[in-house]
Amino acid sequence: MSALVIDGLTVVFGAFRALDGLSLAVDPGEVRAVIGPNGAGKTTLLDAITGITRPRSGRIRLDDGRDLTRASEAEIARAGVRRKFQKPSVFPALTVRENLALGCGPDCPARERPARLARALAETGLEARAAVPAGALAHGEKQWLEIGMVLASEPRVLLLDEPVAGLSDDETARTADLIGALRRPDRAILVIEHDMAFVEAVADRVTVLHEGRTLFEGAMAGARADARVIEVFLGR
Amino acid sequence: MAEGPGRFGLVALLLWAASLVASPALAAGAPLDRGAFTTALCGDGAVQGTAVEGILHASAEAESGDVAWAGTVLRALLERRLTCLGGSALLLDRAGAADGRDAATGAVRPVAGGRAPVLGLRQRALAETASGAASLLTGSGVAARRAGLATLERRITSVPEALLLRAASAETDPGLKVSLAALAQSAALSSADPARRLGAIRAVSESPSGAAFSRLSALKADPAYGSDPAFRGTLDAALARVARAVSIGDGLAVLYNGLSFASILFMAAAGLAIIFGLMGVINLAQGEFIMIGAYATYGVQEAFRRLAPPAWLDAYLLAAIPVAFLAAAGVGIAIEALILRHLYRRPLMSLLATWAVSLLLINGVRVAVGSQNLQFAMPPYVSGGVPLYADFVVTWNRLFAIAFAAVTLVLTLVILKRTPLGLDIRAVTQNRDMAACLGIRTRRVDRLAFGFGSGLAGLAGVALCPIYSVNPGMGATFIVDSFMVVVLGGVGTVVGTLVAALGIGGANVLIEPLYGAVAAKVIVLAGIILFLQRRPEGLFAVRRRR
Repeated sequence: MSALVIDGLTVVFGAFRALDGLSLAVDPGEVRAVIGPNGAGKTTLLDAITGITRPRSGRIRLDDGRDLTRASEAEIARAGVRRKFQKPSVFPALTVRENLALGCGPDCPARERPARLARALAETGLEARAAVPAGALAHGEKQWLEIGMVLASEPRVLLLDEPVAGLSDDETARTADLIGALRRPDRAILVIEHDMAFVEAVADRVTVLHEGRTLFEGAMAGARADARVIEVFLGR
Repeated sequence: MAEGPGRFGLVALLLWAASLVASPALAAGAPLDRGAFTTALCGDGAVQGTAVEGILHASAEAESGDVAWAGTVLRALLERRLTCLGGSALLLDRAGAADGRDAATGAVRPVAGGRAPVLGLRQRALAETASGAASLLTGSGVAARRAGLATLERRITSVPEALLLRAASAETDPGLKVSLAALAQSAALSSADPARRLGAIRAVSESPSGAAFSRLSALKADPAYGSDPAFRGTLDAALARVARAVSIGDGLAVLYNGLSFASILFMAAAGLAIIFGLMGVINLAQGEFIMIGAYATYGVQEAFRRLAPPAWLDAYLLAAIPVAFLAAAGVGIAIEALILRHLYRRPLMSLLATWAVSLLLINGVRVAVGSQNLQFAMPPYVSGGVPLYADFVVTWNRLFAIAFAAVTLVLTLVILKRTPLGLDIRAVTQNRDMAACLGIRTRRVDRLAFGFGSGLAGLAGVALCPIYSVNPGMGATFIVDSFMVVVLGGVGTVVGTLVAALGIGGANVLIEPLYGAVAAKVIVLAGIILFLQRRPEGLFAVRRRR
């Protein structure tokens, strides 16, 4: 049984088909990377899953059969599907701890909250920065904070939108470790990324998107060898 | 032997007369010659006047038995119960009685053939003063002594200072003692002794007030001001000192009034800032939420009058605090749910809608309650005050508003910074979409925040009841200033709102006495416009993305 099932998803902006009948299934415990050139529909896919963009047709379901296709952003978030945005989306005027508390979500049990916050702080290595306003953090720290916010809610499906964009090599390596640590048997992780080395380090399988459709699905090594993928990425 | 006391009396009279121009202390210690006094009272106007004036001065030193006796005689004289018969005077129990007691010996004799002495206007006034002095010094009850003091106050210039000092030192009632000391001081100002006058001028300048200033200013008309350089110098120095102290005191009073005005502005504007920061709704009905708070306070007062024991009435203002908060919050939530919810992201429409709500509330209250000012019973903890410096009095009603606002500030900060709702409010204020992605129910946060902001305005309504007049249109007084506070302070910051409220409230009351209320508003508004040219985001803006 897959943790997240996307079935024939089509998203249309005017005359442009951002996603064109895309189908995708992510298993529990899997880290799946979605790669593709600019405009392939990677971010649109995450927008559709999180309810920011409404698909024209197709279905998005969780493993318990819950249908997220028409659910509101807040309902999707409460169902355990959490997203880390491409640009670090933290609340700059709130402290790191407050951001994590918000990440924990409105349904976060009050008794568990301190333990979850402590765990998120420890996993992201931000313990020393807990009382600092998020706006004062370095770019990499903001990325980790946002991952921590997502983590605090103990999500079933974790969506990461370019988690290492703009990070240094050290920070990228640390982020890869962090994502490795987030892997759990009951959690599906979907990563969108351009950085191939990073994808190879974290992902079990990759899905290559091109013009809103699946071009390739399988191991990273296979993607590297696939002629169509090379053509799309390198051009003719 | 009969000649002796008579001659002595004449000498004493001469001494008293001399004491008028010199010092009253000349009569010190001399026992009162009662016979000579009554004889003088039976004489012509000049002799009467001299005798009464003499006894007035002698009262400061004389034995209290003598003073009490003179008071009795003078009262009899004033009430036409004194009859002169030969060389002595008889006191009657009532006017027209057949027998009277000899004033000097107490022997009862018939009054037939006697004559009641007639008092001229000047002599009557003197006799009243002297009799008042006697009752002040020897009256058995506080009321009698106070009545005597009231008589003396009317003709304070003719009362010797020593008499007041004696009364003040003997007085046991603290209130009367204070009035006596003040009166003694002003009597010393018109004393004939230049040294004592200078001392009194300095003493008056020690406790400056507007009244002290006018009392000292009156001395400029005194001939000594032109002729005596020492007097002139002392008076000018004292006047300058009092004037400086009075202006400092007035300045403090202005600041104090500004602080209390700012407190109410803060409570109204804090709610406004939260609502505007969160939802982008410009709530023109915020002033009416203040009005609802004030009317809820009135309702609680009336309920206490009718239902609670009278002793509890004083507590109504405290009981009104939660009621006013909940009433305003309830109306706010109802308006949000019925009207504003449908108008989010349409700022102009929501502005017009809240204006319509404001008109509806004003006129609804006019129809239901009437447009007259409401009358509030002021509990002791919001009436009166303590004089602090010069004319500056810390009044309890304004202190109530200031303390109330301080508590509200702390509670608001605690709610915003320490509770889950506050965290949600701050998150939604900063980035509504992101907060929604995190699963925050933004609509519910909106509604609760709107209720909270309206409730804060309701609290402002409670705080202003003891200070400002309460009527259906009262909200308009505060709404414009509240908006200026929000715009100046920066949206969504409690600290900015506080600083801006203090600034605008203070500027208003500072400019008002100089140029008038309208000019104050114009100047403050112009200042804010200039400031916003430089810093459009206000004093303390939260960095945020929309």
